[in-house]
Amino acid sequence: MTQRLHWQVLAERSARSGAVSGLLFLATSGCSKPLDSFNPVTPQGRAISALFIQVMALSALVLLAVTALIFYVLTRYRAGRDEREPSEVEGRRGLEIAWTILPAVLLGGLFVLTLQTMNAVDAASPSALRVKVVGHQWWWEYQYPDLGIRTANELHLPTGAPLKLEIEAADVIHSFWVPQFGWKRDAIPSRTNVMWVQVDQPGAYEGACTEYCGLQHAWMRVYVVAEGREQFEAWAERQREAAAPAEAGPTTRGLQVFLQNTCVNCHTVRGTPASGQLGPDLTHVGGRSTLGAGVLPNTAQNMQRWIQDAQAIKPGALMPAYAALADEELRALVDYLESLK
Amino acid sequence: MAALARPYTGPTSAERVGLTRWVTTLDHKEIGILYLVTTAVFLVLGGIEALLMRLQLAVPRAEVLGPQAYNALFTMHGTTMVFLVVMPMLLGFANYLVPLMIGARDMAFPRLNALSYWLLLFGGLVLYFGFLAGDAPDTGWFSYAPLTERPYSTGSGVDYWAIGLIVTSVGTIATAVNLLTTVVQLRAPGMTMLRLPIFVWMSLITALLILGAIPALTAAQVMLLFDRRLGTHFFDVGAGGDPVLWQHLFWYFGHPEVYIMVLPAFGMISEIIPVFSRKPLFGRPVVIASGMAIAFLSFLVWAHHMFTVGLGQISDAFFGATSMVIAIPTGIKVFSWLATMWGGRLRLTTAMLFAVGFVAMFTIGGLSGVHFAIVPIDWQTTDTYYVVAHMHYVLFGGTFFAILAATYYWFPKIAGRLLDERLGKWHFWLTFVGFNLTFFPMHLLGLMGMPRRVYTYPDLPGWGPLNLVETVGAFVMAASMLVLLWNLRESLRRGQPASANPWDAWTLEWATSSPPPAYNFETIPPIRSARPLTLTRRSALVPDPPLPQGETPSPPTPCPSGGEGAELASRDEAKLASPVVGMLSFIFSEATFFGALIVAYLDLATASPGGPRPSDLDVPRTAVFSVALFASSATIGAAGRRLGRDDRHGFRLWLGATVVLGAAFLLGQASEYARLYAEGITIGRNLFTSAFFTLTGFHGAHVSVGVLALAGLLGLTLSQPSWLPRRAAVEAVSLYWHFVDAVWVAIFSIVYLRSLL
Repeated sequence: MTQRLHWQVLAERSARSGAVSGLLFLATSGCSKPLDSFNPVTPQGRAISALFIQVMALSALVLLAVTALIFYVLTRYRAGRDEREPSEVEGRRGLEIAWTILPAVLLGGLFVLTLQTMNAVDAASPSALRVKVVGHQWWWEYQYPDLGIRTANELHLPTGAPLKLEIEAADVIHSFWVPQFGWKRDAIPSRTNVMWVQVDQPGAYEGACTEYCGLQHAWMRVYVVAEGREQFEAWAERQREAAAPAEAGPTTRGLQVFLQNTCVNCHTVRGTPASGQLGPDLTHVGGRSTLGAGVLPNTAQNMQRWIQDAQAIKPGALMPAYAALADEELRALVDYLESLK
Repeated sequence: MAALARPYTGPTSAERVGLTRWVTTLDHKEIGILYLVTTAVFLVLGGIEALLMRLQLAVPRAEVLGPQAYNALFTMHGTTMVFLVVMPMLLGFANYLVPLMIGARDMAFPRLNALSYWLLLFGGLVLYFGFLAGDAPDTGWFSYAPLTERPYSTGSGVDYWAIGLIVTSVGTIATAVNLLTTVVQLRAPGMTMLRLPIFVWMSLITALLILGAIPALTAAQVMLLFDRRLGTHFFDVGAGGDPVLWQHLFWYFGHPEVYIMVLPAFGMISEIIPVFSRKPLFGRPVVIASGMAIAFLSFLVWAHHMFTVGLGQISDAFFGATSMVIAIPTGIKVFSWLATMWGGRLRLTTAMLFAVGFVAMFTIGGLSGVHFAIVPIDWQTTDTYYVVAHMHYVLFGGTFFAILAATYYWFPKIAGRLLDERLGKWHFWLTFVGFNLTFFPMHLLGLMGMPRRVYTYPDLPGWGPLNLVETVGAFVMAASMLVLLWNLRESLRRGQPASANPWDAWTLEWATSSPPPAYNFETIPPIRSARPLTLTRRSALVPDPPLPQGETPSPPTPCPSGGEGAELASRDEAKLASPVVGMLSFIFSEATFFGALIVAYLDLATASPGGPRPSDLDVPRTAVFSVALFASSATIGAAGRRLGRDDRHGFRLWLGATVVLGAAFLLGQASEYARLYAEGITIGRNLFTSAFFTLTGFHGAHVSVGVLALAGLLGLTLSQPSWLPRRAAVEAVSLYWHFVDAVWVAIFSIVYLRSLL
């Protein structure tokens, strides 16, 4: 980032303590977590948030001035005692020029800051790790072309490393947004949008598809796990491996159920004959924290509900209901899938 | 146009009764009332849709509505409020008020005016038919492709949406033609352009915006319908089509649309605040000029809705800059209203309360609007609840507050009775509190990460309580609307009778009785300033006393020809005839329509990987029949000149030649289509054929309409040897014909000549 001007820092500080803390208080009603938009975890997000806070402070000042004027005028000039006709002032050149020039100057300043921030945020890093983000109705596919990994709905990222998210769509337009990353890009079929980020703090971050994409737009959540370099490498190592061969007993039975049903038409489990491409890759599904792109936490019980009747949980999703499975088959299948860590 | 301008000789609408009166009316005031009542009904529907949505969103993971129903509701809520409530309600006010404010008898084209209203109603019914058919539109009010394409929207909802809006849009364009012609042609003597009330000015600018913007939407919707029903590929990604083209065309319409919905509200506020401050509007010429600046800029900002599309930094910076510039003229208006109140003598009537509320709420919406102009902030906040908050502060806290202010202000003029002020204050405060409870927390939810258009949401910290507050606020607003409805009902029955000028206002509509007689004015006071009634008041010419209840005023002299305003135009020293002005404004809208089709052609014609290409066209052959069309411009000009000299024979001859040349062109085009068809080149083959047949086909349709109109004219002159059409009418038709020729010059160069390169 370029060196920040003294007044910018000042503006930011006073804004933090003033207008924004007012908003924060209202927003969280007692709870002390700041709004995601003002709590970024990427340098890109910090640049945008800093600009936003300055703009917010300026807006608050303007609003305050207008409101104060309205209150003053309403109390001072209210009809009542004084029944004289007001003087017929039709305008005052000086005043009119002032309130044209002053906003123009302020906006000019904001435009300079806008350009600076755009350049800071949308700046390429040559050594960035590439991650392909593909929006589907209604889930996310994540590919790491350099690492040979393909997974879904849970995006793992290393902290402290520049990242190049290549955002695409498989069907309609989606938009990839994690509020604490600070910005978003649309996922448009037939083109690739690039979004640069670098996550500085390990943690789990929630986000969502923000472009209306049909029936289940609401349950196209984004879930990001940012972790230190070593943990990330370990995760990537696990992801590269094929699914662990099913152990004897219930999981073998589960794999059998999986392969005998139409699961394989849409889902891939590497290391088995299942290689469908339409739905999320399930090779390590047991290690993910949610089901159905965020609609349920990933527990054995929820996995069972999801398989039995996904339509009751996420109506319209392409996942059909497998209500005809026998209890024993279902339990074995759930055991098997949950074992795919 | 000739038929529209012929004097009307049937019974006046006052002589008809009941339903027949309302169905057949051509009176601008009655049509205005039809607009206001119809849009009020749609407002109730749109409001119920909003309440249902708020019920579903009251708590996390609620199951009041399913996703299907919710998505249909937010689509219909947005579409209804924009196309069937806010825009036509403002046009309804303009319909009622503009002729009165300029001292005219009626609109320039009363029959066209009635048609506009009925198109609005029928378009609205087509849109709502989706609910009856169990297949309501559910792709959002901006209906982004490719979600709207057949593979992703298999039902008919999108078709109802597109067809319904095309129908209402034709009506809206006709209204714009009518308003523009009325203001240009029918001003009373002394009513110079600079003396026009600000509401009239803003309606005039709005008419221009409508003509320049709405046809872009119509063209996009035509392409969408062709994609869905004729197998073209405009937005079909699989065939190389361009979903971003839809966004460009939609927002080229969509952003001016915002000002179509806001400028008339500015006009209302600029009428109301001065009256209740007892001071003239501060900086009046600047307020007018800033309206023009906003209108001009609004055509240069559309891609600020597309900052996350990835159009590139240069595009983003340009559209960011133009969008920020709009804040300057908008700010000027806000400051002018404040300066008008400063030093005034404020009467806090309900109308004034809503007007002041407008200034405050619109300021919030305007400021958050600047946030979206700042590109990086837009990257973070677009498509979240921050947008939902922003647009409602502009359109509800802004425009709708202005409409409510206007309701209290002009209701006495329209109904002849005052609205109850005590209930009015209740209405205002409930609305004000309910509005802010509903929409302020949306800013916070957007900043917290809640996307717009979700039928439910996870139980994240703070989300549930804020959403619950919003739902409570929405029901407070619903209660406030009940207070208004009750007030309207009671005041219509037993409200205090209104005098001609109950607010001691200055504009012409207050110079006639409340409600005005069918003929509007018995006498028009002398107009020597922007506030003609100041003069009346100061010289102690008391306005008409209120009429006793139930008595209708009788016209002083036999009313000149029932429902016709056009005839009165001639007393002005107008250089152009009304049909000509109307035709010129219509041509402006047609130019936008063809412009959109040409943009689509340029974007797509060479983008197909395979299949027919522009080089498959037979250019020399087309050149031959193009010459026929170009020559017809000369022949119709000659016909007009002969008519000017009263040379019947010459007129008929040249008119006949024009028809023959036009028909020759159409035959040429038909044979070209036949040849292409024989080679298997049809509209659905690839992107080139989609764009080519759509563009040339629409042009051919325009030529056909022209040929039919001219042939009809020729038939009339032949069958009735003594009859000749009015010169203005022929002039209007030939303008249209020249325009169709000019479009072909563009098409011939872009489609045919370019293929030779």
